[in-house]
Amino acid sequence: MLRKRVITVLTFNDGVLFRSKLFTPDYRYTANFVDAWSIDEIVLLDISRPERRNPELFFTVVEDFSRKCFVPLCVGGGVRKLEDFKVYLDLGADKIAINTAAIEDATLITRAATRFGSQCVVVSIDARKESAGYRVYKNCGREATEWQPENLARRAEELGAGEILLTSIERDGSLEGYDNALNRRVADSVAIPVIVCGGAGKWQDFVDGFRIGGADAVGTTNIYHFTETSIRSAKQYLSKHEISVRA
Amino acid sequence: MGAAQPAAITVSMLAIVDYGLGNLRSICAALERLEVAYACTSDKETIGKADGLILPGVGAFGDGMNNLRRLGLAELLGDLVVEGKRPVLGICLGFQLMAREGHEFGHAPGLGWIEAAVLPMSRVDESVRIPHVGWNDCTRTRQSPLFDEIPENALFYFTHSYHMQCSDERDVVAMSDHGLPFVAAVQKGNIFGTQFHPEKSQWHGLSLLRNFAAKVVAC
Amino acid sequence: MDAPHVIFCKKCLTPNSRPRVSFDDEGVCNACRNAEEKATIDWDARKNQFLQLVAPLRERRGSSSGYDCVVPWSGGKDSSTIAYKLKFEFGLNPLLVTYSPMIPNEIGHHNREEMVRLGFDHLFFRANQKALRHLAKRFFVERGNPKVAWDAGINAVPLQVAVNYKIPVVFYAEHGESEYGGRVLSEEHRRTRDFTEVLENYVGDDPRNWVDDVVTEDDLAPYVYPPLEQIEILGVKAFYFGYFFRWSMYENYLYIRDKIDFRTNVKGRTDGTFTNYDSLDDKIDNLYYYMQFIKFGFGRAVRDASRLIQNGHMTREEGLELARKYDDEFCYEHFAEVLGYLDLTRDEFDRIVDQHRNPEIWRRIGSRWVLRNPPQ
Repeated sequence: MLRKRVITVLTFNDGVLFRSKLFTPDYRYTANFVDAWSIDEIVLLDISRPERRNPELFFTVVEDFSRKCFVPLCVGGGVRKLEDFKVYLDLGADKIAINTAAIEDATLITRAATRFGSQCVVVSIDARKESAGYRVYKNCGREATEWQPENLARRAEELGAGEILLTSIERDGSLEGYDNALNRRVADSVAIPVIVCGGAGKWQDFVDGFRIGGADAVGTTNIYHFTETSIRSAKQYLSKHEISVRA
Repeated sequence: MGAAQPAAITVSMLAIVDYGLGNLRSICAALERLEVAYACTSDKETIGKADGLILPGVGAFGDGMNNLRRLGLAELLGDLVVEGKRPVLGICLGFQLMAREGHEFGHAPGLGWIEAAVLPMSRVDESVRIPHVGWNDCTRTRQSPLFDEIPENALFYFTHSYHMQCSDERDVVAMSDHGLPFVAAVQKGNIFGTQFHPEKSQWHGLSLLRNFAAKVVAC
Repeated sequence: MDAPHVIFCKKCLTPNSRPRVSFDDEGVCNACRNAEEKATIDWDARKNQFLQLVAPLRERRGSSSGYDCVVPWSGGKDSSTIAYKLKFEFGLNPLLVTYSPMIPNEIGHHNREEMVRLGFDHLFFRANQKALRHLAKRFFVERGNPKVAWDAGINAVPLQVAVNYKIPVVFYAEHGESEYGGRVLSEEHRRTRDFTEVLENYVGDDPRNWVDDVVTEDDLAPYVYPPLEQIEILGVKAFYFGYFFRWSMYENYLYIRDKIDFRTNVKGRTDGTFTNYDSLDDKIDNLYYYMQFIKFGFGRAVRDASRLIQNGHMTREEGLELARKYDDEFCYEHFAEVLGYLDLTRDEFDRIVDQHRNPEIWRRIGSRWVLRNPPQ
């Protein structure tokens, strides 16, 4: 039986770890902690500005991870064209996440799925709560769009996406727990796997993300969750609460 | 977990067949970690000289076959594997291409080394999502050197929307389950294949690759 | 890496590597700007706010526990100053709550005893050392900070006491984010302690997650906040004393020194800095600040000098000279005992320290580690 997944999501700006898309650098981290063998997958997102000084810095991060971790690696951030897919795949990525591009150029989803396979295409959706429902934001959560997350997810699925990576903008970087109303909306609207992100604090939040939110995988951006002891502790908690995960 | 200690490792060289599809870097990294000599190539001569072959792949069945034919590799591999009995390990799409035919975007012939058809996975109920992505069981149905010294409850990483349906039960060595049971690994003489990605399945995956290099190829 | 990654505030010496600090267009850090604002604040109005806040507390006495406020108290200059003023200037009855130092020392004990002798009630909480030492070692390895669990404890225990004793107010000292350079989420955050903010910025992770091979759920009781709903129902609030009264650690030192026999570091100076009156009560503090130096490139001297510069007690040139002299000093005092507490050999210690050196901040020249951008 397929297990539920626990995924570490790390955001980088110019090769330096950031605490989340909206926060500033997290100098609490050093590159020496890539040793959490119990993690199921890793997501690396580059949030450098387009006028960024050096994309090589992020490439080095990707190569580093792909050399040391023998688990699936999803890489995203600023991916706009098919060539960008190839660049990251050649560096060692297994899946590529697209966010703004998926909204502005829907054909990219289909073209990428056709060329590289659906399982390679992850559509990343950032959403903010509004008075009635939720709204999707693009450009690292800065620009509002006309989309509701469940509709965008459905369209992404139709166009050939393999997975959805859903992030609650308000919860991102906090320890408050997931926005499971948001998660459930999107999980119920598609038949492809959904990874939820934004707000993971305590292990109970993971349980709630699966049970209440309907997630297939839970993501955490908290760097302190990305240690072997933490992941094992989390998985023990999950098992105790009857969520089936890889030991 | 330690590095591999396979017998006669300096003698065998594996060729990872590069036909333009799939994340080869991970397989290379895995073999490097295991200290297995390899070449990642589409060059026919190099492939011809290799002691063992790995056929990777991520993508569409039709594209995979087209690329193999275009590069002249379909025929070469057929000669090496079927006639020459060269050991080969197919992974994911590479594994699926070994079937007689695939049903993705229509009907296309495969390499035909295994009596099987590649069919879409079905969503039997709401809890089943396609593509099948994540860590899942791999229940052995027959003994195979691929799984030597790997615990029964080892999980492997899968990511696919299609599965291989084998006509001959004897070719199947492991099964998994996603709503419905499906074939996780095959072995037919010198032909091995896994639906899952050993290069992405951490230490058990690395053990499987080491088994292929040390126990299958080097023998 | 040619361009400097670390730059220093033009007014004080705080570098941009300090977590959550921000610099404006003139290259001045938010702690300095905050200090400038302090000069323009109507402190009378703030004092009135304070008086309005505490008036009902005095009246409520007798119907609750007999105490009207909790002061998280180390016996140091800051918390003792607050306690003294609350009792003797404003007539409140504070309950002093100490979350025990990890490795208590004589100075801390003496300074606390002095206040207790004056007439303060004191709750001293010492967490079980099996768990605390294990977590100290674990987080020293994982995060280069042996005081993570202690940080969680010092935040949780005073609040647990307030909730259990039904004491409606907790007075913390100063809002670290405003005073020393960090993210201030709102004006209200300067006044009222936001427990979530503290957890996210200082502890970084929910203590309930720390269950591992040695630490059980029971062991984590000292580190977990009471449920926020409970805190709200009881109406317990935590305020920053430094919001109502102009805050200066040097002035606090002068104040308390005048009132009790306040002992300072016998050496005349604490390792890594030029001061002798700050953070004196825990033998592990020298290591804690040394690790700050390793991880962020600035140590105790820069920290102390920056605060003094911000409050007008020192010029930047004076601060810079002291920083250059003392900032990189090793944490010699009590080092052997601290190693024993953490159950580490010297070699293990050195290896762990080097693992935490940020390559953006350090480079290796031969066998030496050198700051890429020393204070300037």
